[in-house]
Amino acid sequence: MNLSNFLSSVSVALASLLLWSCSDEPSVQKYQVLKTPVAVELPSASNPGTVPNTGLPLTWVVPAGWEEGTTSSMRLASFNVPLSDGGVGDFSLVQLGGGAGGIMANINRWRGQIGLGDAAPEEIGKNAHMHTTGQGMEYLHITLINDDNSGSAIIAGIFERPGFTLFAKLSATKAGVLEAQNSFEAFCNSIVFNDV
Amino acid sequence: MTFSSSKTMSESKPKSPILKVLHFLSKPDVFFFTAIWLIILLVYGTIDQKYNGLFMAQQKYFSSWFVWGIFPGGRLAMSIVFVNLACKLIFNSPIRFNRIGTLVTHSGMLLLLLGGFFTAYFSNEGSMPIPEGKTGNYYQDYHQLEFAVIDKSHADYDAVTVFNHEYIKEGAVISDPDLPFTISVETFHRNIDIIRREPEVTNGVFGFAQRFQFVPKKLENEFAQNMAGMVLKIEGLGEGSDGTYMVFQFMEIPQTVRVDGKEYVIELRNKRYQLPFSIELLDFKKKVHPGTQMASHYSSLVNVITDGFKREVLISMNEPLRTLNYTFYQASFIEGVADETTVLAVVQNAGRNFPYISSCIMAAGLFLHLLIQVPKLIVRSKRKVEVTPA
Repeated sequence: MNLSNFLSSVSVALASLLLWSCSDEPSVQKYQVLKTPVAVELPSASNPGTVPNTGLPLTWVVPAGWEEGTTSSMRLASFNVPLSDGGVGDFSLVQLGGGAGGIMANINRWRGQIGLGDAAPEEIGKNAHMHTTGQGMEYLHITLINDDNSGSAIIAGIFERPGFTLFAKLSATKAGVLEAQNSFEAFCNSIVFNDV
Repeated sequence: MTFSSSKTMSESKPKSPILKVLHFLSKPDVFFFTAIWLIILLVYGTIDQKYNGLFMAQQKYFSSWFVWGIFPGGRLAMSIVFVNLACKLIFNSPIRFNRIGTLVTHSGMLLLLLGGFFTAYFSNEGSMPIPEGKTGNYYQDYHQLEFAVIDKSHADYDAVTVFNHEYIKEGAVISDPDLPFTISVETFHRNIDIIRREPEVTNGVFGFAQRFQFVPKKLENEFAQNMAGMVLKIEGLGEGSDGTYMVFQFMEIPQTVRVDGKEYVIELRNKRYQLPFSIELLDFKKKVHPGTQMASHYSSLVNVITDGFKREVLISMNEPLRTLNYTFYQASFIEGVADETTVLAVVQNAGRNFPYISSCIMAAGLFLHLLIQVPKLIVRSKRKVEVTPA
């Protein structure tokens, strides 16, 4: 083999190697993960105080007596709020992207859940107030009570943040909502957005 | 095999077309113009980074073969530099004593570029969050996605089938002989907003998609903040379950499907890399600047567990853990009420030693070149002294 042929062969081989290394083919990989041991467990609602992996982390303090509740697809956290009459309030913390379809639309949807019809913003505003968290973040605090339906009421805190909206919501009886109002506000006031 | 080293390529005309191309590529002009082009790319990439974020700018200008359709991207430009240096070394660098330093320096440069190639194609980066007292054995890519189907029916383990990012696009069909169903990707967006369906949909739509839908959203500059989402059509689950499903990144409760009593979790997630060892977080410590909540220093005391053997290591902000081809940096943390979670940045880089080795070679080459040139310089300076009028 002379130098010319040798160098030509090496060049073609290198070019082929380069092209091969650049290919990006669909591939399927299979493996087994033991159920018990060592998978990284990201903090979740079972680890009160932390919301991971949302890209916009936040923390909170769980009021005394609140117990971890059943989570669902959209709930960042879920707690059962024990009430003095033996009942339990359902607390959820939900994060939705953007404006989440509109604050008023969401409040009217909640009104529908407790048997109230849609209301104009002026009417809704009567029961809504701006509160401030310990971090100095303002949020809309609203209490929805249907006097004709004492079995179902809602208290909510709505945090509007760049790129997403955070909803803290407690559903209980009318008496339960009034009883848990302080602990609900303590929860909302404890929320800290780590990116602020 | 015969080699002729007395003549360089510049002295003899090559006959083979490949050799002609290589001869052309060995010219210093190629390096000169490529270097100018790299400067232009660097300027554009730096400006673009402000508007489209670091990751997108890096992908567009520096990790691409072509930019703006036909112009060489950073990867092609660096490949041209590599070929140019290699050809120069082979064809246009006669081996003479007084050029040894230059040859060694060029070799070091080639090695550095080769290391860059290894890093570009065989390195991975990601993050590894570990809560205190917990153990982790994988890390997640910052940007790349994968689609996972997890068979939960086994008592001791989960059987995971992972489809790489090439399956995550509209029109892709995700299937495997071990899976009793077929998934077609109807829609995919790299960043989405989730909105509630009003009213809920039940006809042929299942799971999360019954109550929510997503709308595409502009990509965030901070690429890790993007949340990808897919609408899927699944067939083979049986009547009453075949239909439309939805998955997206960071789902708190994963989407599940059932076939013949077996439960499968389907996930769109950041690509995971399994480690050949596991890491247990023993203790996370944080110091804050006085009077503030800003961390001034934080560290993670971990156990590196390999085949049951534990090795205690402290990872702090400027002292990463290096083991095998992996480097674990203390990146950040998530603070909870009860405990804390450390976030380690993991880099797996097959070419991580190349810069050190090539730098040493280049330094040695330059030193050698200087040494060889010293006698010449002395002679020249003596001549100058001699011809300088008193």
